[in-house]
Amino acid sequence: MKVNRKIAVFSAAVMSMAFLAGCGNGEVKEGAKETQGEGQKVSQTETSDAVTIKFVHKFPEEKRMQYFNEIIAQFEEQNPGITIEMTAYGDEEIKDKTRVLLGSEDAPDIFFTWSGERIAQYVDSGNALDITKYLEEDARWKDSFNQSMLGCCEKDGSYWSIPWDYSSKEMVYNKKIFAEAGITKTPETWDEFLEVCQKIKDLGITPVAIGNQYSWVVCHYITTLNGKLVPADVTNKNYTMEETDYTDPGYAKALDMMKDLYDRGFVNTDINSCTWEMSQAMVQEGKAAMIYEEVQNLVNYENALKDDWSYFDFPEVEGGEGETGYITGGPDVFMVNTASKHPDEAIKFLKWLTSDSVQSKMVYELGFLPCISLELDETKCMPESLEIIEKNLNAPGISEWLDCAIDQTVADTYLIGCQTIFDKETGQSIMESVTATARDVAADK
Amino acid sequence: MTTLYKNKKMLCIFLLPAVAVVALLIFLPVIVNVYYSLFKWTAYSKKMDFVGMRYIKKLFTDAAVWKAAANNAKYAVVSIVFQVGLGLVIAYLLNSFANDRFAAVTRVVIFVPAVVSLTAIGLLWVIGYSPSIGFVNPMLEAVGLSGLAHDWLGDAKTAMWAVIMVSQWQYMGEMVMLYTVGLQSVPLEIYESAKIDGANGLQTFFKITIPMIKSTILMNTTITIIGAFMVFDEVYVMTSGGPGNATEVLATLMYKTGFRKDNMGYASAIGVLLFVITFAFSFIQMRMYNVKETMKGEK
Amino acid sequence: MSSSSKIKRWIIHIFMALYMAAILFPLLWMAVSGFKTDSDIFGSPWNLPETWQVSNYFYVWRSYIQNTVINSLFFTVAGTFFVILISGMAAYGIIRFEFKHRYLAFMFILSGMMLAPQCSLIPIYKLLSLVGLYNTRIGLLVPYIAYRIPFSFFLMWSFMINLPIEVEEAAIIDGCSVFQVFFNIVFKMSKPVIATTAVMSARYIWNDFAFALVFTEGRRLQTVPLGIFAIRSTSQTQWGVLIAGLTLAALPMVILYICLQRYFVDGMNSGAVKG
Repeated sequence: MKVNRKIAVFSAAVMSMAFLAGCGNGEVKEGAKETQGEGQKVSQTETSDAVTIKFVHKFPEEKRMQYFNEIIAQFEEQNPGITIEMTAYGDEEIKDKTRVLLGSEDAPDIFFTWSGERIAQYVDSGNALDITKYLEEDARWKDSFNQSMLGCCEKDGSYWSIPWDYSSKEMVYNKKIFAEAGITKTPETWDEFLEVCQKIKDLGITPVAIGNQYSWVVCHYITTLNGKLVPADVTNKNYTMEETDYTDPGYAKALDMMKDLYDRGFVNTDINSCTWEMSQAMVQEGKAAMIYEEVQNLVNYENALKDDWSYFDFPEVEGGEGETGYITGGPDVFMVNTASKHPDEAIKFLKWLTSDSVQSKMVYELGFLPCISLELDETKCMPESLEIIEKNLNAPGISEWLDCAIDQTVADTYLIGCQTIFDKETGQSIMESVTATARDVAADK
Repeated sequence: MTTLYKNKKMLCIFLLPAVAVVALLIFLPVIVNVYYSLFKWTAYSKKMDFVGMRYIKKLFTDAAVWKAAANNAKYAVVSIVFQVGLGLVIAYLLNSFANDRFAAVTRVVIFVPAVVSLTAIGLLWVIGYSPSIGFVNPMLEAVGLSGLAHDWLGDAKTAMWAVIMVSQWQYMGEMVMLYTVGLQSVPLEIYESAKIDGANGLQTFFKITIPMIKSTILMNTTITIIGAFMVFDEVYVMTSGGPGNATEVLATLMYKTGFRKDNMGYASAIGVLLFVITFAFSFIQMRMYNVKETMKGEK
Repeated sequence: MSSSSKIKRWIIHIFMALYMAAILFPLLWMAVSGFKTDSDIFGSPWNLPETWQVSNYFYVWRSYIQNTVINSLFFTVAGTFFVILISGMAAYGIIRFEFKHRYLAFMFILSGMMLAPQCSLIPIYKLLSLVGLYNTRIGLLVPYIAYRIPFSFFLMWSFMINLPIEVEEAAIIDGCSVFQVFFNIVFKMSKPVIATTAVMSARYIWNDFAFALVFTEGRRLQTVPLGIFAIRSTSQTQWGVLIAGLTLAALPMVILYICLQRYFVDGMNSGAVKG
């Protein structure tokens, strides 16, 4: 008994030591600001009733961080009393980090997510603030958005997030290789596309680079192909789980078309072990002719291939039951946390992020696609970007990233299929297991 | 023994930090995990719905779980062959036959991969195995085995083995080191008397070395098996479970279930399963190891 | 030496040399590729760099490592220190002290080895948030220490159990306290196992990714692996820089190991033989 008490006292001592050490260990928030070299300013703003907004995004690359640092500095200058505490995580890490953070006391005020189910999951869990009233109050702000992008943020008649930039996909190709293969015209239909691939293959060059180690890469092809092969109302019902059975033959055909492309030898043989980054490098180094790339990355091909690159729209599929001319992609959005103590300030910052000057700076410096309608200075951006921005404004609709659009458990089965299709499986058998998973999930809910 | 060693207060000071930290940060989370597995919840949700034993029961019927466990088992078997078996042979050869200085250099060199991060090693081998820029296939061609050249990580049939071999490459040196410690604690006189009795190398190895370092072998086997069931980073970096789910192991499955498919309850259940498996193996081996005897004797 | 055993020795030497080559080649390839431009890496993965891009190493140091290395050093040094202290004390306590539940205590600490840290990420995270240690130095340090203790404890136990008790008894008769005996005599005699434990623990803490990602946020506590992972990006990966970063990050542990390796076997052996 005596011993036990002593143990208790001792362990209490150890614990309290731990706490003391914790307090002594610089737990005073270091100026609450992540940007370096701005220490002096912080001490001023922290004096009175300062508000700190925690802001999490997924653009940690050096150049992009620099952009954010600059626009945040401007914002803080214009809004004394508001400090933005920014943190950035990479593409994979942010998926874990957002989930963990939102479950904690230190949850961010503004956080990043993709659209589709990725928005719905945080709406359902009660993490996303309904920002409809802020949009209604400020009609000019609401009207400034590209409405199809803002539409992606709507669920059950309310708005839950603000689109910041969006991504869409284009086929990037190497002009020099095309010329060598005697190709004079970019393909407009799938059959023409296959012919082009054959000609390039005959040269001994890989026609299409696909780095499918993380299977979202082929899933993006499937996003596009599903849009072209399956009627929009059918995909809508399936993606929102209104209908669990993926019975439309277009789904299986989309997968089979990718398998066919691979079986014909038009894709690098190591499709499932090649990483996305390697496939980009293959095209940039001239080892492969084409890649299905996101528009904000085009600048890398400009840097690597100079004048020898261009792009074309994903070929249409003859006899497809779906839509033509749809954008494949989706907005990157920011949500305001329901637990935020400063939603007004958070909205203020979001308005800044979607203001003309910040959005055009984004287009010029980062090559991203803006989510508001903008007057752009042609001399400051790549002509290709302008062209695509223009074109997308008139697009009839959008096929949202499949892996973001649908329930995560169903998406997981689908994503597995996006790799196994190149092995033994067929489109038919994969769609059967997707259907089975969807039924399971529906039954679980 | 001196009375100082009977002082209970002193004992507490010596033992408590370790016991407390292990209890709070290693065992408590396991118990919490068992509790968590009874609920349907996500990492970010505000509510947890009680579902009872549903997820624990689901473990037994879920083909994905069995597939992952089978991959872990493959990992364990190969690791035992290479790290426990071949590691011992190499340690023995170096210790008994090689030039001392040469042996020392070898042991140092082969241990080096074990101090490099799994992430670095993983990425290194992703590139190494690549059919376009890697060094594995050209190497095979150079020694006349071009028929074996292959997309090692991209083919569902070879991917698991390819990942497993990287672990062998990385950790065999560590096992050699652990064995060498054991081998060198065997008194030289025993070997000498065996030599006088006319025993050859093979006989000494089986009749003297193995029985003398039985406890080291058992310990290394335990470490290896537990390691094989906990494996995560190597798989995550090299294939992230693919192609398809060909290289899914329990830890990656658990991670994806919790953090990608947002089913933390089921992820916790998989964590519980992982614990039960490693606990069972360790328990069996601890019985064989007979710690109680060692603690009494050996002094 | 007979000629047959000479041949045997040669065969073994050749075999081991091949094994060493298989270990060293990929590592050297990594170090050399860090000097290459991206087009060089993809164009001629086998050759030496066309131009040695030393700038890769400088760039990765400046942009990704410089700001994180202090944190990593702190966690590695402090973590390793406490791991050695706590495991050493526990091992010694179990070996020397007489008490009823020795076996139980031994098994309790040792069985911590069986638990995969990945299983426990969320529970530990919740625990740390609960006591206000999330995103603090101590909040990351303590889990690092906890998960290294079981194996380190076992290593130190198996070494210390062979230490001769006579030395300690003599010191106690001379009036030394248990603490004096432990720090001045036992720890001094245990140098080899301390060196081994240090390398074994330090490499885990230095290389860890998962704990650092989940238990901290922002740049303040960012460690080197987190910094380097940021190079790998879906938009544009600079391969030469990434590989240079991986090489640089690996260097400290390789150096530490090479400095301490002489203790690994010889030292442990001398301890064991005395017993």
